[in-house]
Amino acid sequence: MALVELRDIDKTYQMKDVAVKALAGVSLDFARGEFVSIMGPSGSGKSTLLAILGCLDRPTSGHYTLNGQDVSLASDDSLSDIRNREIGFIFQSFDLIEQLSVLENTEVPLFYRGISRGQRRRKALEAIDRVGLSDRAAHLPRELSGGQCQRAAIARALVNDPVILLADEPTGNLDSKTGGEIMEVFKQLHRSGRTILLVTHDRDLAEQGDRIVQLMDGAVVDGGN
Amino acid sequence: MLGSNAAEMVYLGARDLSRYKLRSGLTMLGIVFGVGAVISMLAIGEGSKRKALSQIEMLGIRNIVTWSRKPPQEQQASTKEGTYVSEYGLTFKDLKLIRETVPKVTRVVAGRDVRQDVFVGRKLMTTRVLGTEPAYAEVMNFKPARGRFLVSRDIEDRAKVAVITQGVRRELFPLEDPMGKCLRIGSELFEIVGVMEPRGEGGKSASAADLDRDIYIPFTTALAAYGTLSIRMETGYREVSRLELDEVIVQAEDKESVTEVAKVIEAILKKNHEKQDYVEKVPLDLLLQAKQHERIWNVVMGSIAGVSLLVGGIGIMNIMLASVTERTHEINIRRALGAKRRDIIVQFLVETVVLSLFGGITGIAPGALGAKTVTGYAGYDTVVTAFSVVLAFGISAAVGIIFGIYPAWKAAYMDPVEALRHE
Repeated sequence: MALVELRDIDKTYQMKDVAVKALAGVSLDFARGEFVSIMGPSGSGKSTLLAILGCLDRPTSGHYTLNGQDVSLASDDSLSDIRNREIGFIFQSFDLIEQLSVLENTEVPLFYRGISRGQRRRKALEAIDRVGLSDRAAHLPRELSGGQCQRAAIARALVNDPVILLADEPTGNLDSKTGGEIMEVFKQLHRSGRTILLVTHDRDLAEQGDRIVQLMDGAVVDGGN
Repeated sequence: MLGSNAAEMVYLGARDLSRYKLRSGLTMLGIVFGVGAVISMLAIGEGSKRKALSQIEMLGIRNIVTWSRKPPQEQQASTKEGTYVSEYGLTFKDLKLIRETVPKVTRVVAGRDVRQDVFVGRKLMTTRVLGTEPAYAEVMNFKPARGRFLVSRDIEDRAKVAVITQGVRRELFPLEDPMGKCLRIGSELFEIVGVMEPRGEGGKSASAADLDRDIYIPFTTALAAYGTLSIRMETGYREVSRLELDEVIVQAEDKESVTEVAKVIEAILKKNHEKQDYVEKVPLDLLLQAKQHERIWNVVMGSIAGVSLLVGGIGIMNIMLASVTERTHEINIRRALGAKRRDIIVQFLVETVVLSLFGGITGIAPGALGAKTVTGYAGYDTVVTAFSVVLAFGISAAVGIIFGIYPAWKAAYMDPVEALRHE
């Protein structure tokens, strides 16, 4: 059984009088340990697919099974739990909480999981060490470079040991050298067995994954199973 | 997760607020003033209540007090030139009638002010020298601190003894022990046999100060030595007044019969005093009146304080709504990282409550200061009670929760999908 199973996913947004269909009958499987790139022009439904995969939104119809659990009908609270335990988000603009230090940012997912202070600190420091940011743990995001911020974000995404990493244009705000370094981090994580979904419009980046899923007008046009 | 992390949430909330010191400070101001108003309102109310109670207590809750007073029309007549003899006030006949006819009475005590100056050596003091009876001390619930009060032997013997109060001791015997010393009242010498305990709170309340300046001598001695005539010399005329008794205090059996006894006395006096040359005071009525005033005061001031807290609360809500909008992205990120709606609600509620509680604590000092300022005008002490401080805490926490719920709810019900949008 695949780690991620999407079956006939439809997503329709109701705008005043018109219904806009963002996804139409998307079916996709991602295996455990796979590194898949999702590509497509703007408006192709990439973001919507990412929102559904990330349990930030529910499909209008269809079924989404993550790690053996049907999440398409889960309550808001259970979706929060799933995001917290199963999914690690990495955003284009890093999205660290500006008033919190790298360490505190990394502790946030552990905090919402209800883990005690001491354990939180220990686990967060471990994750920060893994991305090579130990000497910056006490710094605020604004005191870090873009690359360091993205490493911190990766540490935060990894801290709850999720089954899947969702990266949304993770190098979009970085220069090509730093972007390359971040891609190296992803490849390393992939080698150690992580499942990674990379959303990008950059073909060079996309090709570094095992497989490319091409979206167009809310449907998978290439790379599906 | 709430319990163990409560302290941490408060810490994080306070830290978030301290990022915007000016804004948080200005937001707090509303609560500072609101709580300040509550504190000073309560302090003033409490002070005036205590003052009223201490005055009433001094008069005795079971007592009906009647005083002689110069009838209003004669006060005008006495301004004319020449000698004028006025005769007014409570009489021995009144006293006898009250003693013999009024039911449900435990004690009746008469008092007569001899209207004489008091000397110790060359030191002069003008005060009330009251000729009275031994029961006066019990009726007024007034005890000697040293020596004794008047006893029946003093009455029988028309003894030349005097009992002084603390005010008199302070003024006439500032350094020495007054016990056994002599006082000259008018032309007669009296031996001091007792000093009463202090009366009233620090003597700031006017009537307490008055009672604390009395000198008591036996009733019979007062009549024998000074008679019932008194002469007052003024430029242009001489006023002679004839007055038998200055006050009659009747103590009822119990609180329930006070009103009835007061009515009977009123009926007796009315018959013999067409000129209205007496005043009847029922401390119990004063107590009820004081309670009524307190209620009105509480409603009026409570509304004022309530309005200022409402305004403060709306200010807080306004700022928190702005803060929620400003931090939309942070909220969405927290949601993406696994925060439940209630986590977000708690986060913002904690911030609002920290803000308003801090405002509340800050408001206690200006409130107490405001009350102190009023003390100067009101002439009585204002009292900041522990209860009012606790209440201020409670109110500010409540304001924080009430006005924090909507912004927190708004924060929690934003769509987390927005986390994926780039700014």
